[in-house]
Amino acid sequence: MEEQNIIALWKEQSVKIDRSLAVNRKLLRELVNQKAHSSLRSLSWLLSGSILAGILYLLLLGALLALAVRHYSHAADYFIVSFGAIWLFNIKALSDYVRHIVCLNKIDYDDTVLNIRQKLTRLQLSMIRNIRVMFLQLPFWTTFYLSGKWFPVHTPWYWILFQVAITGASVYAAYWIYRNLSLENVDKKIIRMLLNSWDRKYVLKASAFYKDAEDFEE
Amino acid sequence: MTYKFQVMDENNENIFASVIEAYKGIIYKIARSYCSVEDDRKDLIQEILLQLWKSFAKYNPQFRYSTWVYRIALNVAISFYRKEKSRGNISHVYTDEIFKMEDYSPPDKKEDLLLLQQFINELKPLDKALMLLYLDEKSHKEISDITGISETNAATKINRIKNLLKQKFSRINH
Repeated sequence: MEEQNIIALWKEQSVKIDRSLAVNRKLLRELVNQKAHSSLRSLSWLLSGSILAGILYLLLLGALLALAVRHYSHAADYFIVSFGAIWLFNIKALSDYVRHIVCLNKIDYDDTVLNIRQKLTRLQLSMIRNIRVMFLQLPFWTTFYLSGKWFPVHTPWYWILFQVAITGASVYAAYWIYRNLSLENVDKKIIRMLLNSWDRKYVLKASAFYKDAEDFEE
Repeated sequence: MTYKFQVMDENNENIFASVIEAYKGIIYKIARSYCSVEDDRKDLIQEILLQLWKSFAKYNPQFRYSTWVYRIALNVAISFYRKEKSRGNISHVYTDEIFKMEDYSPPDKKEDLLLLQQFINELKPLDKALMLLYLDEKSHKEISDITGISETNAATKINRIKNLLKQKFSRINH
C-alpha cells in the first residue's frame, strides 16, 4: 500500500470518528468542576494515608527509642544505636517518598514529550535507587536485641560466633544489594526477585522507557 | 498534599468545552492507540481531560490548540501506567462516558485499517507518538514542538517508521 493511500485511509477514519464522536458536555463540566476536585481530593487522601502510616511507624520507633534514652542504662546501648540507625533510615525513606509524590503531582504535562519523559524517568530512577538505601538498615535488625550487660562479656563463645555470623551476613547482604540493585542489573534473577517485592512491572517499564528516551534523542 | 484548582469562569469553561469538542478526535485516537482495553481507555480519556483542564489556564497562545492537545494527550497516554493504581479513585465518579461514539461505521477498507492499527499498537510508545503525528499530517516543525526532538531527527525517525510500515504492508500483500 502506498504512503498516500495509508494517509488517506487514516484521514477517512479520522473524519468518521469526528463525525460520530459526541462530547457529553454535562459530564465534561462535572469533570472540570466540583466532582474532579473531590475525586482528586480522595486521591490526595490516599497518598496522605500512606504518608500517615509511615509517620505512625516512625513515631512508634521514635517512642521506643526515646523510652530507651530516657531510662538509659548500659544494657540499652545496642538497642539505642540499632534503633537510632533504623529510625534515621526510615526518616530518609519517608522524606524521599513525600518528595517523589510531590514532584510527580507537580509535573505539568504541557511540555514536550521528551522533556516530560526525561523528568518522569529521572524521578522513577531516583525512586528505585532509594529502595537500595532501605536495605542498609538490615544489619541493625540483627543487633537491637543485644544487651551491654551480657554481650559480649558474659556470652558463650558459640552465641558470639552465631551473632557475628548473622550480623556479618546481613552487612554483606545489605552492601551487595546496595551496590547491585539498579536498572543495569535488572536481568539478574536475584535483582528481579528483590524488585518483585515492590513493583516489577513499574521498574521494568521505567527501564524500558529510559532506553527508549535515549534512542529517541539520538 | 493539596491540588490547586483554578476556578474557571463560565466563559473559559465554554472555550475549554469548545476546544475539547474541536479536538475530540485527537484525544480519542491517542487513547485508542495507547489503550486497547475499553475500560482503561475511558480512564485514560478522563485523565487526559483532567490534565488538559489543569493546564488550560496556563495555555500558551504561541502554540496552536492542536499542538497543546497533542502534547498533553501524548504525555498523559505515555505515562498512563503510573496512574494504574490510583486512577480508580478518579474514574468511579464518572460511570458514564464523556466521549460517546454514536453510530460509528468503520471505513470500507477495514482490513487495511486493522493492519495499520495493529502496526501502531506494536510500536514503542515514543515511536507511536511520531506515527500518530505523521498520519495526522503534522509538519516537522509541529512534530518537533510536540515531541521536543529536532525537525531533522523527527524526519529521520518518521522515515524509518514509514519504511517499516511499507514493509509490513508489502509482506501482507505478497
